[in-house]
Amino acid sequence: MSLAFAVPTEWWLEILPELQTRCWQASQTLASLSRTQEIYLNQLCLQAFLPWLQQHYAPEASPWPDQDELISIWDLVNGSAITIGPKRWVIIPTEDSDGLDIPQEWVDIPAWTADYYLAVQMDLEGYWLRVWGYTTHQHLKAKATYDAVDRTYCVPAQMLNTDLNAFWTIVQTCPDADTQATIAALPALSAVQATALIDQIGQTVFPRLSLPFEHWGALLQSDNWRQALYQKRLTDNSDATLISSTVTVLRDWFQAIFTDGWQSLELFIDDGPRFAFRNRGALGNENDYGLQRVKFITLNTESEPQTLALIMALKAEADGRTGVQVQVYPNHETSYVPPHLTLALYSAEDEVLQSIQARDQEDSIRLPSFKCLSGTQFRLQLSCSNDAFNETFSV
Amino acid sequence: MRPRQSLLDIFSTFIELEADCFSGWFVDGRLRRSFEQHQAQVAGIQPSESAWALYWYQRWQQEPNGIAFGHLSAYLQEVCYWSAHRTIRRVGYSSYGLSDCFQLASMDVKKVLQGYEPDRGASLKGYAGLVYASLLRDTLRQRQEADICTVWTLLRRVGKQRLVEALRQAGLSSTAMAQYRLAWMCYKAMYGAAKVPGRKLRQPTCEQFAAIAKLYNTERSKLSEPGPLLSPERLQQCLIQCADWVREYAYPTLLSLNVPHPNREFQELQDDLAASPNPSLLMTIIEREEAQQRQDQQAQLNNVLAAAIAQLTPDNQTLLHLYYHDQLTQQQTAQQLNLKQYTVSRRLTRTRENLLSVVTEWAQTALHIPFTPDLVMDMSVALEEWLTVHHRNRA
Repeated sequence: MSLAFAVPTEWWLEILPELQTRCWQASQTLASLSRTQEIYLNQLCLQAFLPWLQQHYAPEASPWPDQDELISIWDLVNGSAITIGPKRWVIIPTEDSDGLDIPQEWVDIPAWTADYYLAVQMDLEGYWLRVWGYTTHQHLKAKATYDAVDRTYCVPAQMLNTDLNAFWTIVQTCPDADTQATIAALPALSAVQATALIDQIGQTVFPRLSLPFEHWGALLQSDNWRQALYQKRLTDNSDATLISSTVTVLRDWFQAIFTDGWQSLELFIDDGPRFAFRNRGALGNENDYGLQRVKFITLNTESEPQTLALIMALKAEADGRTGVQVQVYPNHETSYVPPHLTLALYSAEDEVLQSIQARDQEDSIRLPSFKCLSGTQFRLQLSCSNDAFNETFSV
Repeated sequence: MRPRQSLLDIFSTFIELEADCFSGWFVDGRLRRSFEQHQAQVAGIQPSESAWALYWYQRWQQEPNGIAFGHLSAYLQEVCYWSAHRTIRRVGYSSYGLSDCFQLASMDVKKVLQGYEPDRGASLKGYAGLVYASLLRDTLRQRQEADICTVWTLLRRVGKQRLVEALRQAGLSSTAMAQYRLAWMCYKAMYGAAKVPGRKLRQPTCEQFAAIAKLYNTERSKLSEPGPLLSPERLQQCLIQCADWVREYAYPTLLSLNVPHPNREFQELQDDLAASPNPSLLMTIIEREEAQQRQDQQAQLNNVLAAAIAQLTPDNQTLLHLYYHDQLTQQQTAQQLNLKQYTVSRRLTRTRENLLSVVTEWAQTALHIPFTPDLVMDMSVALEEWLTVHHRNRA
């Protein structure tokens, strides 16, 4: 029905039902858990669009890296690249046409950047595909909004160039037009680091959102490691247990790299005398835990949801280990933590190492400070009768 | 619809619709007085319609809240009407009437003005026509989806940008938005695998909701305010609520249909808008227009394009005629010529690209303008305007 909207300034092509079925079947075996739809869509897009492009516009067009490597890419991130002479295009298939959301990988990984980014809409029930918009790397870096939640550069439909006739003419007549912006190189990863990272995120549902981008990008740009990660996800995900994709890497805190949610303590301290009273002997004491962050967590208690402040403090010890201090305070509206609130520390093997429970009218609870070697993993659980919050940390 | 003749009418009247039909032109007294005052100040000179349009455009840039906006809104009424009319004819829905589309388009005058760049070759009317057409297509497409899709299909097809806008329009706090957005991401990750091509998406089963909820509850630790645990039932409600908000977003609140013209809101808000005439600005515009006419550019362009069209195959000339003169959809054209719609689409697109090539080359050689992406895009807009006018004027 949407064909009624077709205009000559867009590129429309049909998708053969046999191709669609073939791609869907292939996606059932090629994809790891939760990526079947993406592999299906991306493979179908490339296999429908590329031959059409070769036939009608650019016979020299070819996929990048190559059809097989792309599968390991699609398991992790949306989009394909096509090389046409000295230029590279990235095509982003979606089922909607609200705007163009380009994964950061295609913009900020130096080996992956392209000249042009094309918005491709696919209608799987209508058996058609249309290319309806484009932008350049330079325009993206300058004008697009970066969405840190899903790590995409977002261009709303109104800001996108939607004239594909102009696009093709530009590609042919303006080969020297400025299309790419300069971006920083990614730091190199050692084999040990890469293996550790792969282990860490191998079983998560959103691996591309689990690591700081510098590490993730470096992992992805190496064909070997990317394949290793893909293989690991294929084999490990047969048992569909879900592990939190967030492992908060505490050593990053010493480099001032913090994941979402771990905020500066000033946000919490900004409460004057009341906090100073509670603060006595806790934070900022003579043990000098300099690095402190707070995360606000809401739990369903017996009465109503209550927000708590989970405060973690780190210290680099003389013997090379990292000192950790964990405390929980109520948020400013209430004076006490919920009764029976439990803060527990679990080892990587899920054994309870420490546990503390609040009595009535406690203004805070905390675990005894502990020290760990670099690389140690532990889990914190904050729970009351109705609800529990967990976060896994790696020192 | 009876087109306006006098400049005074063109810059001070608005269309009145009754029962989805054109019923007359409504005079806005304030605009009329303002324009008469301006005309008096330049008595003896006869600025053209386009000179006045450019004049008011520049006045609008200087005083965005002044009366120039009203004059421009009046000016664009016919373009608005034809865009709505054309869209209705092409789309052929009985559920969307002319008034509906007309109102939708006329709400976007500001968008047109903000995007317009007068030095780039296209006329304001030509540019407006394209913007209205594209906005109407997008809105109708989104409405169609909102109307016919089930909750579960809608949630799969809606893009992130539209979802986020819908949540924002619903008035959610940023914390709540983050939580709903995560729920949607988890839905897409866990439910995607179920989609077999050709089969409608059914409601997830209990086990599937449980899996989505489990993923949500583990992933929420990465939010800056994680919020409470969600049960599968609660998650289902949240997802249904998201779909409702997306549907509401497709139907922006329209002004009452009883209002004779859509700019009543503007009229009521502005009291002191009388703009003092700026004759020297107008003179500058007129002089520039005359200089351009002396160069005879428009006549040359007409000849170049007419020659290019004469060189097209008769089939392609027919295609252009059916699309631009008869205003058929590509589907209707295909039926009439006994072709597949994709063939029509490709040939129309290719023809337009060839014409654009011709025009761009002419601009480069005859006018000595270098090939830049901007030139190509401007030429494409000019081409569209030319094709529309050329075919309208033929038998």
